[in-house]
Amino acid sequence: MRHWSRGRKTVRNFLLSILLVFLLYASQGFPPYTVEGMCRRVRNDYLLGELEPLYVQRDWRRYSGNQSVRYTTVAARSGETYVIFRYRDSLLGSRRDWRCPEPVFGEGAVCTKHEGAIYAAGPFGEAASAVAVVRAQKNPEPNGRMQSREFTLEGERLADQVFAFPYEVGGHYMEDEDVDPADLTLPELVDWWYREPVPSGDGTVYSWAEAELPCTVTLYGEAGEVLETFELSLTASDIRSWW
Amino acid sequence: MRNSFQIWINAVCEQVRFRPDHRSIELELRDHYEDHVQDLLRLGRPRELAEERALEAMGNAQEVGRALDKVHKPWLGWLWEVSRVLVLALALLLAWKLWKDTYTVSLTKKTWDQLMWTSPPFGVSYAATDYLDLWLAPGEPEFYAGTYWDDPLPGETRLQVPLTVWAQTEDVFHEHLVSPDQHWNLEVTADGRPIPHGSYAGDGSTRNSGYWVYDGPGQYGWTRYRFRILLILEEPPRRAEVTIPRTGTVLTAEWEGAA
Repeated sequence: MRHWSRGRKTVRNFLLSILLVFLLYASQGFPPYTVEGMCRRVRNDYLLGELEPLYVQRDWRRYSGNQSVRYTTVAARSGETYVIFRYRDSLLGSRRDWRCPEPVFGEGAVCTKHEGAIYAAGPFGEAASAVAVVRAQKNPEPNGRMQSREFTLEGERLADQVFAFPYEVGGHYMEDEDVDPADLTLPELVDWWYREPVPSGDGTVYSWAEAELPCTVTLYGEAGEVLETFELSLTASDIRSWW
Repeated sequence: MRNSFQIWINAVCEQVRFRPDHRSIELELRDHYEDHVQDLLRLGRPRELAEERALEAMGNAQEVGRALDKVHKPWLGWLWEVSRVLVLALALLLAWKLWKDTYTVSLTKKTWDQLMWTSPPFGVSYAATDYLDLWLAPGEPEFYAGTYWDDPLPGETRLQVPLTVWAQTEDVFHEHLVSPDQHWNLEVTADGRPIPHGSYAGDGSTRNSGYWVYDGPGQYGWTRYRFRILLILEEPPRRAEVTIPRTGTVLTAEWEGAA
């Protein structure tokens, strides 16, 4: 066997390491590491134009077994198309978060829910403040009676074109139908009003309709005047989900 | 005399700053020393004399040590150690990823599909987006045999009409090109009639027509893809259109001589 000097073997090992790193990166499907990389990935997958990040939020979440995971939430725009997406970060690159793998798109503006707040992105640069009104509506009862409730949420500016509208989460699972809807939080009410007993079940097993909840975002100027209103929507399953 | 040799070895190693090599230096010098002793014993020298001469021949311990220190440079030694650990760790990580991680892509399958990708035939419909080149070719209508999702109905009379799509891009930074029906919101028409995605209606009933993106004999390389869109129709079509609304891209397929 040919005898290599230590220097040559070191060089060989580092070259081999580069090859292994490349194979590792390729085996993960060339995941992104930066926000620009995430935007590029979303742009390519969904055939969008150039994506400009508007807001980036990094969250750490601790799971059972002391496992901590970092998530990156990005609001971005491509022309008039606004998009919000989320990646789960790891040492070997970021992956689309399996809990909300599909980016949320909107023309003119977009909103989605994320851990106790509604995030809205759009041309909000001129606004001094913003308010979101989310309307939940119960299916008509046999007597034709309609019930609905509006939740008015104050906006917190996160970036030039992004607002967050935090809401109370609560933790009350609805079993008692005599409860007053006015006492419930948004997720609790959605959980209650948008569920239906599974036909084959015993009445205690429910499924939830894929309903859309209107979400009206109103922008206000310095003097409190209304600047613009955006008619957006959220899904009931978005609101119900715990993440 | 053996103790003398050990003292000599220790003196040599004291000069060598890269400690992890002390053991191998000692083994190598000991081999030389013992070979020399054996040679002298074969020549008939008494053992004590042979060991004394062999030790003398090894030279001055400080000089030998300094010479070895120049060869066994600490920075190179540590770099070498680091490179070994790095290669081992990366190899184990890759092996573990390939073995265990469900996210890991099949390097061999993707590479094979990339290399074995068959180009679209000449003259088929072509369109380009900022990111992709796309081609669409019509296939022969046949009696509906079911997809992986949707079985034929009793007394089935519908047809399945495959459309083959080729997609090619220039980089590998994408993830979901294999799910165009979900991510591109395709709009499909046959002879001007919109064809909905899937053949199950929202209420669980079966529609008469629909389309599926069907991997069938697909190829999913790193930058080259080929998959099928399966139209489920009641009559053979004359013309089908596949539109990607987000980019305004339209691909067409036409069947000559269709009714």
